[in-house]
Amino acid sequence: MVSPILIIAVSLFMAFSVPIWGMLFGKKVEKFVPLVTFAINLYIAIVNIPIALQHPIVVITAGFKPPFGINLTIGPLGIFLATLIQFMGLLVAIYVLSYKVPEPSEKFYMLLILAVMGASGIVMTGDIFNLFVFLEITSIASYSLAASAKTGGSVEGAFKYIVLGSLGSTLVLLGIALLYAQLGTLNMADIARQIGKVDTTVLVAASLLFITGFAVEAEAFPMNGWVPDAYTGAPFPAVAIFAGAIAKAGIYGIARIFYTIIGAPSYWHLIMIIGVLTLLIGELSALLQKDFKRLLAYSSIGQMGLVLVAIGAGTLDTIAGGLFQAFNHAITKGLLFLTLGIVVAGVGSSNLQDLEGLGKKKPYLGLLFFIGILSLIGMPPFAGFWSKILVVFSIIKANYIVYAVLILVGAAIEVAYYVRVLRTLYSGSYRGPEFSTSFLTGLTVTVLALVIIVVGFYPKLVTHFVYPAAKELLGRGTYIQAVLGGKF
Amino acid sequence: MVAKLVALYFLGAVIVYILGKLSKKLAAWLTFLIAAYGAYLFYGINKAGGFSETYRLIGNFGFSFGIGPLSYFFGMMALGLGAVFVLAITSWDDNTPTLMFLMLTVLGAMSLITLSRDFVSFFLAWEIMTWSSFATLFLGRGIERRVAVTRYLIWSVIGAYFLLLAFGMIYAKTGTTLFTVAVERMAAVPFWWLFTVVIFLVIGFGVKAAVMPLHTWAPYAYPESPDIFTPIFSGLLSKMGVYGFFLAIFFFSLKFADYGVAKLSGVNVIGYIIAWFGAITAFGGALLAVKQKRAKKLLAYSSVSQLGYVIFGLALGTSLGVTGAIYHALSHAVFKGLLFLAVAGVIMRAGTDDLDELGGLIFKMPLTFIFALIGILALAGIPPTIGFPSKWLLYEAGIERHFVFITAVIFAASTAAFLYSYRFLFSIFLGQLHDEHRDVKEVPLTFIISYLVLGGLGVYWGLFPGKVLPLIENIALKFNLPALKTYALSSITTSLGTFNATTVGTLFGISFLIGLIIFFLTGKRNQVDQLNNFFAGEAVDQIEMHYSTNFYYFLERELKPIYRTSAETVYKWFSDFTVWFGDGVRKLFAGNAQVYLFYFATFLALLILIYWGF
Repeated sequence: MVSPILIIAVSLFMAFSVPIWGMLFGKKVEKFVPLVTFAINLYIAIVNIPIALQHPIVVITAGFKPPFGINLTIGPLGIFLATLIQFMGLLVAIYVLSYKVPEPSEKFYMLLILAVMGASGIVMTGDIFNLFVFLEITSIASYSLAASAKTGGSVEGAFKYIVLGSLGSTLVLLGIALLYAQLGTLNMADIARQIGKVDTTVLVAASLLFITGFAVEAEAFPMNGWVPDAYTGAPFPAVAIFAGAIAKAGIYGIARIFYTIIGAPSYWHLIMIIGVLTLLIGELSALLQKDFKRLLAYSSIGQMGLVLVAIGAGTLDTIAGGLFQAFNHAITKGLLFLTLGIVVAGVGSSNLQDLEGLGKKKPYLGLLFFIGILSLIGMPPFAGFWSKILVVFSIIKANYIVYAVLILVGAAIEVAYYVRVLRTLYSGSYRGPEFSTSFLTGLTVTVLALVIIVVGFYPKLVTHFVYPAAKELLGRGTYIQAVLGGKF
Repeated sequence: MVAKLVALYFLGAVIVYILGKLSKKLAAWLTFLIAAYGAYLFYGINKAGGFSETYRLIGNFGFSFGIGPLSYFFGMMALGLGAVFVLAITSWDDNTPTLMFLMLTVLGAMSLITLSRDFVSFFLAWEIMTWSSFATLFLGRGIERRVAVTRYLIWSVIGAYFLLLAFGMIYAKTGTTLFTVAVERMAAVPFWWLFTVVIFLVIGFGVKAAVMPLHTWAPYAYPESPDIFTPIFSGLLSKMGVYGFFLAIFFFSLKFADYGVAKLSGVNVIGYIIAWFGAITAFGGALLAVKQKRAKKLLAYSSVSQLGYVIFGLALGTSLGVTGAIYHALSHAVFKGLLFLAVAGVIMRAGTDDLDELGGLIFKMPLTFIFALIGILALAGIPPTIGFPSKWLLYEAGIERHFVFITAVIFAASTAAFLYSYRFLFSIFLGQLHDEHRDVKEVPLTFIISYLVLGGLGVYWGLFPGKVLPLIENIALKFNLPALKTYALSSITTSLGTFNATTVGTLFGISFLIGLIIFFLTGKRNQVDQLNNFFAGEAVDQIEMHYSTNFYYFLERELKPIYRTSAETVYKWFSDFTVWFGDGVRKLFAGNAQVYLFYFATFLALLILIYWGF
């Protein structure tokens, strides 16, 4: 067994040694550092999958047994998300090999590794203060990534992200402090075990602080004001990481805290309401967007809203469906953002007007957009179909038929603007400059499209993970027992 | 079995696409062979006495397939006629690999829809059918692409989401996705619940069948699809809507009887109301078809109208109604396919389907004319074509239950159908030939073979209803409907009496022949130039005299108020509202960090108030 803590150690080492590699072996080597890092990490994550599915992996640091000391606790949910995040990281790392990243490039690579490391840390840690530390690492790395394009728009977006993000992290910290003051422990399983002892008023305050704090990263309304600007301003590889890794970590934070640690169903419904508002507001805002990148950003908000609704509904099937949807969102949005990145590098604009007729001029890129969009709107035989049908069926089964209707209203709005995109891509004639796709960027998006199709044909590839993950979230006792041992 | 069909159609589609990059001609023949073999396989399934297959899937879901009389009828119709339509693609000029890929995908999806025995696989196949037919719209001639693609996809997904909601509700209630088990377990559900499910299903399938007021996509999507695909689109895809409609009505609506829903002459009120929607669709579609200026658009509205007849019959739910409806569904598939194919031929040769720019093609494309005539006869319900028995049964279904008004509307729709049928035939084939069409040639051989098969079937099934009725009777028996009184090869006996399609058809044929003989034997004929005819011998230069612009101006003028009432106004208002609202919501993202902080603080304060306040 390779200890999953290596994911964090390797990332940290590699991130800070990027300039050294550059000095030792020349500038050219730097861009391979993220690739090597994520490849190693992904390997570590994958070899740990079978173990984590059997029984949560508890990694003890510095010889202190829980509840003392810092530990990692990686169950099915953690390993699923960690693998997903590292996979997205790896693909982005391949993509940046032939994508012109903003200078100074070594810092971009460093930030990329740190952002992904922070997100994986969030999903793996078993210590609530550690959770905050990783949240800060990933947030700060993301702020810098958002600003890295150094255009007016990107700096503006990053500024909004900093304002909201830092406030969010502070609230999370405040929530942690409240719990610590009451219980004197920071171990998540230990807090979960003793949550009944916490004063009700304090618990309510802490819960509300957590939900608003994590909502920033999870792109939930009304804490998602940063999303459209930061997504539009940031370079495409960074955006793929935002959608593919960081938003997932935000979702994880909410799910872990409200299912495992607090475990009070009264907040689940709040998550659903926030989710449905996020969904509808995100989709409605995208309706008239003229810029493809911004449109995708709003659509991303909408999709995260859907994930929150499904996770908040609180049955095994809905949570599994929500996690499936989160997976699809990472892969599909990754595909769309990265393909758009190739296009924008050539066309020089992400304005839909300038992309007219592109699908006919560049049939392969057009096909990739087509697959991505069909999957997003839930068409078979693509991955999105399964999560859509799973979420809708299970939410109706959980007696939330109104939410199912609202989800479908949101989905219909989504179709309305995506059909506009398709119409633009396939009508008129392309007037922009000639450009070619480099092999590696093309390979990255092809892999993502293949994942969408393969999962579409074998949904078991994902349900194999999301059902145990959902079971883990609903089974607090098992989690606590796995970490602390003994009877609960 | 299903695996075989899936492999055949979907792998076949990929192979055809790749082969199409090398040789379009070869790929087109392969497409036809695959479609034909698929139809043969489907036929074989039924002959072997049916089958039942189940595949385990994720969670509680599994795939289940089987075949019954209804699936067989609709599947055979879709795949068999589909193969006939596909044959014409081998000599169609604008063929592309993508189109062949999509055609096979659509056919494969239809085979799965008919074989499916559970909601998940049904919905899966349904959505594949939707997006693959949607994608063809980008390959059309692009006259109204903007409207067509937008409306078709949005309407389709709205329909699909209604289906999804209904399926989800059934699943939630019964805990199963299998059709039959679900129906069994729905023994004692509340009335409002059953009612909601049925309405959702009716809306969902109604969109595909283009029932008014859910039809507004059809007049754009049908004409915009590639000409060679339109027969499949209008003739066969819409029948999947009918198939679903049938299931919705017979699995669920008939249960209304258990709840004491009022009945009118043995038809429950809900069915009666849906029948009215069908009748209005039949009439409204025909009225709108009358004023169309493009052949494909005219036929598209005509499709809406004809599907209205089918829905009318199904909604009545009586033996006569259902028999007539299913017969008419087949009938529509045959003649509308034939007509759209003829238009495809005309567009391929003359370059347009604008009725104002066509005319006099009868001598240039005589075979196309003859088969278009057969199609039009069937459309108008004139013997000896298939349209005659099917429409006859539908009229009888209305009369049998003494629904005077509704039957009158259906009759009126038929009259309107005469009007547009004539406009179609006249504007394209009769009158004066335009100069630019002097060199137009007849369509290629494979088109003619397709014509022959379709026209032949159209006449054969018109003369001998006894060849179709046993299949429909099997369906009726399966769904516990009383069988029709009696029928023979050529005649049908209903509670209202007997009619003999063969006799009627033969008499029609004989009178036609007599007329022809009289025409040839009597009187001296003097062949004159067409213009000479028009100007009574006055010497006039060559000028365009073809009259088809504002063909039914008098009618349009009189019916103006009716034409002005349109469901589209409501949808326009609704979509404008959504856009306006969406734009308003977007302004929430003010782009100002202070505003976002304000939201943040307000939200947190609100939550604290709510949670501490209670």
